[in-house]
Amino acid sequence: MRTYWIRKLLGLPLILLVASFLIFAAVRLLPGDPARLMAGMQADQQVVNSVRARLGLDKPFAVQYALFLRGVMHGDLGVSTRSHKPVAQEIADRFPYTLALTSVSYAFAILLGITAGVVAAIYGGKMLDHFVMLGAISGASIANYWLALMAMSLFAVQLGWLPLLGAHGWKSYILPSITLGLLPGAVIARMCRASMLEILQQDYIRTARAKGVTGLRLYLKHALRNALVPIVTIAGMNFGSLLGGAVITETVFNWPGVGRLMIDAVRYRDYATIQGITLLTVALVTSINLAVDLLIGALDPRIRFE
Amino acid sequence: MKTLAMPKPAATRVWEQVAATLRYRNLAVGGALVLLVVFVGVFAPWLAPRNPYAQDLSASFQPPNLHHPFGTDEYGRDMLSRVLYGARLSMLEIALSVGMALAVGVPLGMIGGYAGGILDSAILWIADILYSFPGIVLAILIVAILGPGFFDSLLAISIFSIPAYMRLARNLTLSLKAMEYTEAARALGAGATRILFRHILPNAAMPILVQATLTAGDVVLTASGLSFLGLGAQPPMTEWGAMMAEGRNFLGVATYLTVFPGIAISLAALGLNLLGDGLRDRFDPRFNR
Repeated sequence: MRTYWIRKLLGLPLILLVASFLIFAAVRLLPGDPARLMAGMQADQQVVNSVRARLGLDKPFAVQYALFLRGVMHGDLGVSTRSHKPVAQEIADRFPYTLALTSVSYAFAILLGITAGVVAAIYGGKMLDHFVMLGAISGASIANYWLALMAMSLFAVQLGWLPLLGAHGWKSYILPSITLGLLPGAVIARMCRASMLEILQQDYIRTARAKGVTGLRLYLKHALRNALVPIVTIAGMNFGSLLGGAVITETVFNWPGVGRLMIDAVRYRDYATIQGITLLTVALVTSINLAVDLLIGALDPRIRFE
Repeated sequence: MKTLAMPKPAATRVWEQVAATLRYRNLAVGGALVLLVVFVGVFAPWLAPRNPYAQDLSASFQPPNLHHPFGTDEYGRDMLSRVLYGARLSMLEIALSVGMALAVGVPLGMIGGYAGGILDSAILWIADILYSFPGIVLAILIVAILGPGFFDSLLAISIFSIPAYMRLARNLTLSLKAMEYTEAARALGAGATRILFRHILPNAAMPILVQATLTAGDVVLTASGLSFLGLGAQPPMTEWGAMMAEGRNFLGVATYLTVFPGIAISLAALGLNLLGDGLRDRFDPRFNR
């Protein structure tokens, strides 16, 4: 059992190291000369050279990568070529907004997914099940930025009930978190239904029924608990897609988070920022994946000993 | 507690009939929607009432009417024609991204599953690393490198869909390798290439096709999402996401500009998801209940 945790924990830094190398190497392939961009188009060659030396871009690739890694360890992600501010600072300013939005959306997705999935499984094969599942497959098919635009046009522009853009108070969370959480919610609902239906056929559920366990106690305590492993897995896998979806949602709602920062960075070829945000995202996703693995190991002892 | 041979009320029987039909309807409805998109895409030049790129500044911002059922945009272009032509680009998006991802992912996965050992571990590891990037973030990174553009965004999408095919093909190969007919072929002296192509690939094709159909829905959504962000297809291309990015500026004034391309994207994705689901229920024995 201990080896399970150790193996999982050792894998994390290794994946991060390889991912950081890939990101670093990929970003070096970006078109344009960052030193020239930072110094300005009119600057003479001497200034550009000094900027290049200051950014460490005149050093060999391996040295640059080592310096980059050392910087990351010290929380230094370089300097934005657009704002001339430290990237770590820019991300730290924006990240709380992304964290808040994704957390609310994730909670919404899990709540929606598990409720819909359990209800569908309880009414397995009946009309309500089909309606819920039709809703789930539609939720997984709707372009979420389109839904966001439609919701904005109705609730913010036409009716004026909710704020149109930006992050101002709890009301401005409603539309972005619903549009962002709908897709993962739909995916979780389908997995939850399938997993519940499988568990409901098990002998111990029949035994519980025979013993007179009924209603929510049967479905939640006996069935849902045992159906959780695939649900947790799919919920964990969907955190990444939620984080990715945040890029689009933040752009649509003009949300001051990291996702919009990334899109701006791509437009301005601000490669230190692109690099920093991608690294942060990968670190978040791998950590969540690890947490999910550990949680599953805790939920189901059989997995640890495989 | 079930009672035998108790006649059910007529209403319940009707509902059960409807429910039973609904179960197989995924395949039919999904297939019909996909066929519709393909039909529209192929026959767009005959179906579209006007040239989708023809500007008529005297007829700009017309709300939906008899001459322009979907209205006109700021340059007076006919939105119905643009939405119809959009089906072509969606088909191209699917064909190219899914095709490239299949062409790379499936052979690598099959080699890993068949060879085992270090090769297998290496392939699984590559999949793990690609998985640690959320799809759209990886796509944005790749688009940042290649520069925004229609084909670059498709290349990006195909790269992030590779690991799913790699894993699936690997797992299928692993289980098919242990089948008796594969063992028999090996005993008869068949080489690895022959076994992989004649015995494993045909049997792995259906699950891979199902996966491809299910991914195709995501491909349409992601590709148009990238175009919407300005990283994929650029205006004036008749790509649905790019059209919505143009229409977004007139939200509230001319909301119809975003309504119709969005319906088109969502219907295409719904069709592919239903079709994929239906195919899986129909052909994948693991899901037959």
